[in-house]
Amino acid sequence: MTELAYALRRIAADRLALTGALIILALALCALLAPYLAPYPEDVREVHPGARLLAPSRAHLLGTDRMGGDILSRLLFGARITIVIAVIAVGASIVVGVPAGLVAGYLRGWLGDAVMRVADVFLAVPQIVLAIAIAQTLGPSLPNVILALSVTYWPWFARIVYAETRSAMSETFIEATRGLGASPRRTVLLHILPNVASPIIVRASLGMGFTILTAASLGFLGLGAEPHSPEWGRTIAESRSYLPDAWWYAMAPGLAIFLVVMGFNLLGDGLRDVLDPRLRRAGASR
Amino acid sequence: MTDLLSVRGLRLRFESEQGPVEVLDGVNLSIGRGQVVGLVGESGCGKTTLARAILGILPGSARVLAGEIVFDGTDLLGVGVDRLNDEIRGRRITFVPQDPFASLHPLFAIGAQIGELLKWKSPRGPARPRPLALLRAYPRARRRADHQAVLDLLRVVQIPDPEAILRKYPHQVSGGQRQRLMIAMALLPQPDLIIADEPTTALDATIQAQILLLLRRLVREHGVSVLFTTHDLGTAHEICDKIVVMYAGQEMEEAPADRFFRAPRHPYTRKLLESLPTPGGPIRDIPGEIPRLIDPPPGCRFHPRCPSAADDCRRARPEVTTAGEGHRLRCYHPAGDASPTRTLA
Amino acid sequence: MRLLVFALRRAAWFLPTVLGVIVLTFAISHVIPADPAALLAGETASPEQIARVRAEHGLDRPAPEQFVRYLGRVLRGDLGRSLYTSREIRDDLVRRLPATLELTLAAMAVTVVLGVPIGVLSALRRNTLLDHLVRGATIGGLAIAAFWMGIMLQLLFSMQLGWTPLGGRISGAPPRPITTLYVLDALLTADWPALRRALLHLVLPALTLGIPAMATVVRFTRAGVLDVVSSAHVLYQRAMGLPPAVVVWKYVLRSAATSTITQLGLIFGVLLAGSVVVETVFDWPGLGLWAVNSMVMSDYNAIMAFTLWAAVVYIAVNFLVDVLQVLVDPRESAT
Repeated sequence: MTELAYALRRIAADRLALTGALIILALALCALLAPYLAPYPEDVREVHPGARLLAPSRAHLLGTDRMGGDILSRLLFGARITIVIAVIAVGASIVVGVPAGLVAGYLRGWLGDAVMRVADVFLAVPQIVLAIAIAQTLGPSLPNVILALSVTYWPWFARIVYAETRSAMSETFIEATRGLGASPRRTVLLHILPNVASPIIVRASLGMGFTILTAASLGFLGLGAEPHSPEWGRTIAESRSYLPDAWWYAMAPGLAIFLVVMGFNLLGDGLRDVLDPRLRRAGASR
Repeated sequence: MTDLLSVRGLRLRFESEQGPVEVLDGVNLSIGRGQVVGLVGESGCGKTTLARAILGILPGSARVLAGEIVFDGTDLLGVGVDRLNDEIRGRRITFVPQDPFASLHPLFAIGAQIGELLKWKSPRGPARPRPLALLRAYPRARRRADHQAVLDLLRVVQIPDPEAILRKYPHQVSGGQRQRLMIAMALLPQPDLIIADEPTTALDATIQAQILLLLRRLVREHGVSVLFTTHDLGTAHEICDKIVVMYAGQEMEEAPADRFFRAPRHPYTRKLLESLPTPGGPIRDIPGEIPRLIDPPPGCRFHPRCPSAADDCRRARPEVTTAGEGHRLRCYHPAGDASPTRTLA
Repeated sequence: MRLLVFALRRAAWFLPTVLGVIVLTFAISHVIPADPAALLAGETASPEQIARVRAEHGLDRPAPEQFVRYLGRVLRGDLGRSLYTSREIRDDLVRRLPATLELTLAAMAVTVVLGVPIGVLSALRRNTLLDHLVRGATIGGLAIAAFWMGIMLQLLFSMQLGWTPLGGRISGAPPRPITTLYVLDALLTADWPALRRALLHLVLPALTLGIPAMATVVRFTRAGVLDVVSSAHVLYQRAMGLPPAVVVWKYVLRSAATSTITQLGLIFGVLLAGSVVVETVFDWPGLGLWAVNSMVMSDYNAIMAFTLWAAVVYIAVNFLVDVLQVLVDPRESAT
């Protein structure tokens, strides 16, 4: 526990990481408290044809959309969708990818190679393309999009865990514990998993950001959100017909996406610096 | 005869996260023309820093607080970076690095890298290549002459089949050959002074001896001065005319080689010589530890470990005193003229 | 010769992955859906049409047999017929490829030509204002949704300023086709008006596609240069007085280039994925837009074909990058 406290203190000291963490906290609060924070919470469902496409004003801080709905309120509710998608998709990727990587790294041999080759197959298809294919098969609903995102992101965790497990396996202290008769489960859980935790956490944070971008792209293309859903990507798609006049309509959700992904990226970078200086390289964008 | 290089009162500081580190505390050093000077000391004594200060390739956190480095009449500390780079480095003062493997770029052939050096630093080339460095062409006639000079010198440093080696990459060549290459590269611009930073430390013992002999011969033939840093007294004994001992950023004693080993006066020097292992003899080391330079001992920095230390040693650093022809030292209580208990015969 | 052996070994390593992708697309299209025949026949198909499709495609046969048939068709290049264009899908792939290729190459050029020098400079002026700005920009660049940035650029440059057209690949007649890449063709035929028109259409999509990838390149180049700058060989070159410009732009860059090439495969994947949305935003008539339109029409065969194509291209590029690595780094071939 003290290590966690130490890590938290160091994150607080790194201003960028702290900013990231605060942004994410703000996002979570917005999503959680949307019904209370939104000035017009009913605009998620109701339409006000008389108030269409109004410019930002004191009554509507970010203006209104094509249905007359208050954009700010709808953005806050859209945050819920964003968080749900990101958390479930990345969570599922971890649940599938980490055990896969552990097993593959621990067992080695042909089974380990096979698992990694399967991961390679999934990595060969660009995530958004595969998500489109899966969403087409199963139907373009939100749960299916989340499924598609998880299916395409698990290999990243599997790879990291596999690499760390393999290098940990060749450490002499692992040989020692095995020599002393520790069961495989004990070895993995007590000795290998803690080493693997840091890269997983870093990748999870960066993965949230990346998943949010992909989910927004899918929403933009019409996958995942039903019509009139306040999902951010979909809102941007809707706004295109009203440019350049209703510029606020397109700008607000995009800035929201930018802010949130930025938050996760800053936090992920900060975590990387804090948790494992070894990993302090340029870092992947995904 | 005036010295070729004269360092006087050089004070150097590194700015670190923990605070300022006084790496060099008013160091004096002189190198005569055609003289091989050994700069000896334990790791961290500042000998490499001093060598790099002369070349001006210190890290960004370095600050020169005082002193001068006079090379052939010019204070190198006052010369602009451009002039230093074009006229002095690689031309009049060259460098032999400690690690010959890492010092060659791994992705370019050896011949290409030597050629690059001569393109800018050939004795047959213009004194000041400027401007638009990248676009300058390499005149064909000079290139041929330079190439011939390279082949000749490679043969002199006893590299078999020079043409073949020029086509190779650094990882394809042995350690001893690499160091011979570095020595050749240091000689090609026909410099006045070569700064060799622990040039044999990274080599096997047998190769070390060969390289040292080669170096000694070449230096005599070409009349070049050498500043040779090392932590190994045996190496210094092989080729140096004069030896300077440093400890914790201060120079302690300077003497011609034979006097240095026969009759050193400074307690630290004597301790160093005594600590050299003898077959069948006891192991004698110097009790205590090298001080951390972020908070160095006041006055003479050796005083905490010195058997002859007294109050004055703590108060202020001793001035330079002369103990004989070319023999200088900085000590309030030097040992008598008697030989130490152990000599290097 | 050694290179050839290496290339063959790498190719052999990649082939199972290609096969795996074919298995994957088969699974997605034939195994997972409740009724693959209905999906293949299309949304508006009648029960009889669906039954016919089922029989035609042998969808009532056991799965392994279906896979073999599927594999055979794929290898022959028979990818079905597009509901969107009514042409053979493989013909569509060929026809729409040049547009995507041109866009991807232009984005790659933006990424490398701008990204690498910025990364180098940022590393050399470490911890200065420039460095902090660059690092901030890269973090930001990775956080911007590409499609949104495209729309914003359109808003500013096409709608407000009127400098660039709203979309499409060219207005008016394209240049005489030699390479099917408009910019190149216009240059080769000295068709300056066409060149101008093609470039105006290309600039915003290329920037939109290239800038997020550029953020990655800048980061990697910066890290690569920082690694090299503190190395012994740079110190040696400085000690021997080589002109700083030569040290940086010839030797340091060369080391950084090796790591950039390693990233090219990853970057290409980013560009490939991005082309789907960027082509949609700018109405660019390439494969990405084709895929999206097919998706809207629930054209199953088309989506599967696109997925397969994207994966094969990505694998092929990574294979080439591996081979390039060996060429670029003489130490690699020693292993």
